[in-house]
Amino acid sequence: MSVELTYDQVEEMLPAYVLGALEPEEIQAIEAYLGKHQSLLVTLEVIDQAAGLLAYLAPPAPLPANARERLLEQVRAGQAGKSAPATELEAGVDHAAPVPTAARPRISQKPMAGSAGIGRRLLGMRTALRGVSGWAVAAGLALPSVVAFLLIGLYALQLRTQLDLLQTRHDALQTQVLGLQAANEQLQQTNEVLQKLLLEDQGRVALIDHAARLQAANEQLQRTNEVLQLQLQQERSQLALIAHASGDRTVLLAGTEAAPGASGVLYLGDEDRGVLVLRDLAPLPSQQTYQLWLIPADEAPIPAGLLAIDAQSNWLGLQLPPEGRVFAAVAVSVEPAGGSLAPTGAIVLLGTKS
Amino acid sequence: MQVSQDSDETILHLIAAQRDPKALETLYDRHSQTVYNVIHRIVHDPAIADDVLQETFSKVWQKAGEFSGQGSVAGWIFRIARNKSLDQLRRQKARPQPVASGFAGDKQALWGGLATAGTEVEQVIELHMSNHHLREALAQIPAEQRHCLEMAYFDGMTQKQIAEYTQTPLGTVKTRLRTGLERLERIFRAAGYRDEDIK
Repeated sequence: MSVELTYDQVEEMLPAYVLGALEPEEIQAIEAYLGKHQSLLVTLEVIDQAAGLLAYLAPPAPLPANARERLLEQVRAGQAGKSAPATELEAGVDHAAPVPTAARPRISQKPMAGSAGIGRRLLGMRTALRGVSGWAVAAGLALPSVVAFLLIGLYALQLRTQLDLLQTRHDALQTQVLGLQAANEQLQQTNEVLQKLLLEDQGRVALIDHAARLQAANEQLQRTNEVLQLQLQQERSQLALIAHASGDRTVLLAGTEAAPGASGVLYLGDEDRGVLVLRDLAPLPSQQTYQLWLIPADEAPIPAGLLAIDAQSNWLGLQLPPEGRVFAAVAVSVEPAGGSLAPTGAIVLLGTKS
Repeated sequence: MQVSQDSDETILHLIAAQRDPKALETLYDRHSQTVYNVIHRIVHDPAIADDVLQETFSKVWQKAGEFSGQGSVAGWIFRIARNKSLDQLRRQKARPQPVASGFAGDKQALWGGLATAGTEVEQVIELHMSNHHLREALAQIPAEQRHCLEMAYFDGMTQKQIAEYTQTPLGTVKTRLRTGLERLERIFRAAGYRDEDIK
């Protein structure tokens, strides 16, 4: 694959690269790209880590007997200075660093190409110095040091390259982190604004709700006020009637044997209106009611209204029947609920018109 | 020295800096089962798998200082094991043959393999990741994608070899590998998997 790959092509091939599932020329092309462009190294790392999880797909197999003990024995033997190949497989096998077949870009292989040229140059130096006995001995003694020095230098160069690579990756990650931090700050600010708007909205909703409740309460109060105004008007009217009632327009009522402690006063006003004030007349059960009678002389009692008595009210405004304008006496009796056409029950109050 | 509660990274540092065999013991106890499962799945021969297991942890002992810090220690160890196993497979000049171990889309066999009560696999997985997440994640990868992943990961097959073996177009194999791995990565990220979850 001699054509240089594009970013998209390399990105697409990274999973297969990590798995080692590419052909050699594809691997070469990818590593050539990654050697020049580090932008995909972070992605490569992520995919590599995910691929590592495939290890857990392997079906379980029982561990070999004493494998742990043999390993530790080998380690301890190595620490004690005894050297022995760990396994038959190790003999003759070059155990390089655990660089996977494709999981890392083989940029580190570049220095290997330079070491061959250095070797040739060293050989030329030795040939030129042949025949110079003293210098040859000195050169022979110095040569291993020089070779070692050069190898160390090469190793240092390799480490430097790796360090540069790591630094580049670090810088790329750093940039990403800064970008994410900036985005995070932006999101936080947006969040604060939205929170504020939400609170304002909630406040507005609460105010609207409160105003609606106040409005409803106000309307209720107005209705109650109207009812009370009406009652007040009625009572004022009744008071006025009482205030203007003269002796001949007032009938005193006394309790009978059926209600000895009770008493009452009937005030007569204009237009057949009246006010009946009662005292100590006990409320009746619901199936009974008090009824007022106007009794003309020598005529049957005329029903003049049902009286709803309870613990709170002993003051009743009445509209008397016109046919009862001329009466001689007033009575209150106990009748069935709904009243009667003629007195049927006990008379509890009785009074005569003066 | 109590190392059993330390992270894998700390333990690796103990190996590199202090050459502490107990640290290697801890790392071995944590990961040997999964490592051996991978090796055995690749090389199939128990005797060879035994040797590769020894080599793998020997390499961990020798090269602990070379761990770059990228990814998890477990992933690094698995990578060593896998590479050595695949190298061994190639040395034997055996044509990679996917094993019909029930992974060819047989979910029941897959779960059966993972769900054997009392196995160290269960214990290791329980230790580092909930079984529920693992099962869910693996179940979400379609069978054909998982099969391709296994052939690449365990059998060392290239995309072309997988395509030839399964008589599937090369483009389809490429897509299955790519989407399968992307799906695996997304699922584990979504499940809250972090690098340190695999110790």
